[in-house]
Amino acid sequence: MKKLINDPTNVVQEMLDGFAAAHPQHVRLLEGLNVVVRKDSPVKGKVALVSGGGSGHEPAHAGYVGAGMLDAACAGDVFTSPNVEQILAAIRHVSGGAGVFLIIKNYTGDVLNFEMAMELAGDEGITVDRIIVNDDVSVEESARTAGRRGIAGTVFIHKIAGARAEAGGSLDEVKASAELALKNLRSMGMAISPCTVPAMGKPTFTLPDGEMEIGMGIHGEPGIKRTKIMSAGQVTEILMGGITADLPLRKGDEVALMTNGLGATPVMELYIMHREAVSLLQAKGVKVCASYVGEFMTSLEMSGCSLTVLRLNEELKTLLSAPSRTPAFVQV
Amino acid sequence: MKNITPAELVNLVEALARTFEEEESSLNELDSKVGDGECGANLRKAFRTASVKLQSQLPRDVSSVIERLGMHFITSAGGTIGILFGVGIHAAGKEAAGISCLGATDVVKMGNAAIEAVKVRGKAQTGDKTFLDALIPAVAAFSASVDKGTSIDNALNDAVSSARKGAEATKSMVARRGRASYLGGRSLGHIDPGARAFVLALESAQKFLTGR
Repeated sequence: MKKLINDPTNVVQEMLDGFAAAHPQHVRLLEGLNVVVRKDSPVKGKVALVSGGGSGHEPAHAGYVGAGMLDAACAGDVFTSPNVEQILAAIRHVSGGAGVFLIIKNYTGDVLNFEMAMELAGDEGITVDRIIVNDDVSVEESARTAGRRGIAGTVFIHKIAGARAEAGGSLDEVKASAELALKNLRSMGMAISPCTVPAMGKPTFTLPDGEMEIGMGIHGEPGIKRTKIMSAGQVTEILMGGITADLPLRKGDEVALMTNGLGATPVMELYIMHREAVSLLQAKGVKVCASYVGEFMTSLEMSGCSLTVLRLNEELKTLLSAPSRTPAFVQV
Repeated sequence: MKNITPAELVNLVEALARTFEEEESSLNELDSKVGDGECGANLRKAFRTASVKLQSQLPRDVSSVIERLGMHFITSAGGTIGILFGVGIHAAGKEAAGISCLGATDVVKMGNAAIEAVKVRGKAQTGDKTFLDALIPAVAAFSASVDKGTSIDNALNDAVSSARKGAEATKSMVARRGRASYLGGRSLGHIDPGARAFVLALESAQKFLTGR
């Protein structure tokens, strides 16, 4: 293992120290908890948004803490859900009296810990609601699995729910907007090389030279199939095919499109993938109203990418284009 | 075997903490086949911090020791396995309310309470390839032995061997819960790390209890 770290057991805390030092205008840390909160929190009278998850997906989720998006992000160990103590502390801290809304990616550990914290906060008299994000079409939605995973599309949920809360929406209204977005949200990813969790010291899986995995999750979970490496155009067709099989797009539909790098993919390649995705959508008569290209939800140094489509209506368009000022998502 | 006092429970947790320190890498290794490779690290940390916490407070009664242990796992373990162990331990502790020294029939009731709580919170059933597949047969075997009137030592032996068999049987199960479920048929042939962890905990408890 070759990494720029000091000690594998301290990576999360040291990263957050650096993060807080880099972005003092947006955030601060809750001492000893690995929780990042909006600098001016609690914001009185605003629904507070709390998200988080395992570390290793930077800039998710701490990068989305700030005006117009999240009020707090809880960082677990690498690829491990944050614990109840952290989430409960975040809820208590950011609660501004209008309720707290949790944005949870659909992983067994995340759901268990966030829902347990939600129950305990409820016992303390804080009104808490939640959405479980499951945008990854690579996983079959059935009783035989833990269900579809939450991946890069979660960032759009942060944005939509955050804009609604910032505009003074009630907890129910924030939830309704988040659910509307989720209904219109699909993602699919792929990987061409694995990543190494610092504490493990070796790659989480292996991919022989010349092979790729379609549908790979952001923790190296297996996807749909392993195949020989293909061109960007062919890969885009597969990913977009998976997305549109589940979210049929019609001529005249408007969408936001995110091409997300998993950590070690050159920006050049992301733009090539984006080009292919835009042209596929245009060929269907679908209008790409907003493009997001870069690293939004990574998987350490995995290389590969995911595509996310958010189908827009007037409400979602307004909320998506509302201003946000966070370390990793600035919109004016 | 004698009944178990609150002070002995605290020492038992320390014994468990040592077991999971020794087995951390073997559990991580198992977990990397079907999950994300952090099961051993997660449990090592949870048992170690739990032991430190319990030793810093005077044990009052068995129920409060076990409930506190469960709550520690629930609030501070993170991940999946820690919180689900916590849910089971906490439910078992609640079941032990008012008992000063644990006897065999108490342990059966506590085991069944733990099973129910884990099933509900984890939305899991027998055969889903989780630690329930080791816990359920262990409690059933222990209960059957106690009913037959055998000694607690023998009942514990039966529980351990049933838990081992149960964990071994997860090899031929396809995971339906947790991160391993994404593997589908590719989870076949691997022991569920949670089930293995439960066996390790039970073996460690047996060694501690019979060695008193």
